[in-house]
Amino acid sequence: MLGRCSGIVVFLALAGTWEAASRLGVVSALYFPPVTVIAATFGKLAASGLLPAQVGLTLARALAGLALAALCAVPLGLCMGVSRRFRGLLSPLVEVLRPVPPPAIIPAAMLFLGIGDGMKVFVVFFACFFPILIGAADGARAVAPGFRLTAAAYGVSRPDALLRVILPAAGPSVAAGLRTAVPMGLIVAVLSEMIGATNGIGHYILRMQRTFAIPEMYAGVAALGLAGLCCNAAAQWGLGRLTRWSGGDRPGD
Amino acid sequence: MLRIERLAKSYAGHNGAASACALAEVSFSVPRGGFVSLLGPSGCGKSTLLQCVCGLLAPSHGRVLLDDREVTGPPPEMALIFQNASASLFPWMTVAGNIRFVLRRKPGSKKDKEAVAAKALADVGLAAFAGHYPWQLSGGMQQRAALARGLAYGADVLLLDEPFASVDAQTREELEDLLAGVAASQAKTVLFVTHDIDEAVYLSDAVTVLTPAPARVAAVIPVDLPRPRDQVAAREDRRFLDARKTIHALLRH
Ligand SMILES: Nc1ncnc2c1ncn2[C@@H]1O[C@H](COP(=O)(O)OP(=O)(O)OP(=O)(O)O)[C@@H](O)[C@H]1O
Ligand SMILES: [Mg+2]
Repeated sequence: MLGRCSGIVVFLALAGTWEAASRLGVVSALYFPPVTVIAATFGKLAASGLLPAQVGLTLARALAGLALAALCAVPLGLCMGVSRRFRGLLSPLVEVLRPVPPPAIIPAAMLFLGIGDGMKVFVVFFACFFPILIGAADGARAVAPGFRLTAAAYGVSRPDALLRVILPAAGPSVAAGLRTAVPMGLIVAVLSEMIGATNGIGHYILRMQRTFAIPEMYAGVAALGLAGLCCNAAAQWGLGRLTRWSGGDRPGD
Repeated sequence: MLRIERLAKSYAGHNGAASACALAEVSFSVPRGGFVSLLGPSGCGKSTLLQCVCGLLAPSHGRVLLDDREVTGPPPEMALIFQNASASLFPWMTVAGNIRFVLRRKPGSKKDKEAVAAKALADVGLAAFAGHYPWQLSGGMQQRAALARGLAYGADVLLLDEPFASVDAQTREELEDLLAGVAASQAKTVLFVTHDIDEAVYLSDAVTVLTPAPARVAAVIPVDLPRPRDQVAAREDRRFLDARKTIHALLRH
């Protein structure tokens, strides 16, 4: 509790310093408008529905890309984890594509997908795919042999075991991959909106900057920060519930 | 009739290590409805043998015949109760969930299966723990849960790997009598691995004694005590004591 309180004090002190520096002319009030002005602008834009709409667009794209990535990467990763043959087949491709920073593919994606939603969803998909794939593959590979043997001994078919034994056993590792993917998806969605889009919070922030609507620009940044915070918290909470069995107090033996 | 014919198993060596021979040549059989125990020093290959018998491990030489059909994969009429219960019970399922999971492919209504699971748990004294997760149970309780799951599976052939190793003496006697009762009333064929000479003699029609690794059959000692047996009376019987003495001498050389 004490840590939390002092954290809030630090935050307020910083905001206060910004406010004072801006109002006293220590820094340019044009580039660093007072925090209270930004907050007021944020309140106005949030109430008018503009910020929620723009953030909503961005989140929808990020979520679509993330969901598609999870849908493809989890099964592929699990298969890579349990089958050496499958791993041999895919890992050269994965090793080549994985180090490519996702923003680097935005220009190429714009060539064949234009600047519509498809391009953004694809770029998010690309960014989220690899952390999820690696999480699933590592998790499946590390599943204790006892679980697999038990499933086999009790007549569980291999596809069934993949879904009902390997997936849950690898769950914590899959969840870790997803937790990494969520902020990456958001970053890449915003970036793709800055490079090629006509809406979305990334596009909005850039447009405000170019038209010197600086308080609006900061309000957009704040809205995005808030959205990111909520996404991470939601992922943490949801995934934590799904893999609850692996946490908590467990007797060692 | 379960026949083990000249079974041998070597594990491939890892990272250049020499391959390890666990089973040299093991032959014996368990008649239909018979109860045979396997006794041998730690590390001699008993768990390896059980996994070969139920088709989880491919033998290096020799074969396993169940009613004259060669076992190449886990047959539905066999259930293996693993040595390490905590590595065999699925921690993301409740104790009852673990049992229902192995019954999924069996015919019968959901309600019937609930009843089978509840009955099995009551038999091993875990009726009150159906909704608990395995990691909320003690080591001995986990063993009993794994036993309940194996019995509930309804297989004709039971392979048990030191199922009572970590339960207290009182519970152990109860579980031994439970197993003997189930085996007799449902005409199960049982192959039972244990470290405990008394337990082997008390439960079995015959005790197969193995040599230290790599295992061979040192001797097969028949136990012709009448059934049903009584924990106190049986242990005072001349025939019990004779069998016990013979096995003791074999294990000590
Ligand atoms: N997966 C494995 N890879 C390599 N060697 C193994 C493996 N499993 C067992 N072994 C070796 O095979 C031998 C027999 O092991 P096993 O587990 O069958 O013994 P056990 O008789 O069941 O022992 P215990 O009574 O202690 O359970 C041991 O020497 C062990 O080192
Ligand atoms: Mg063993």
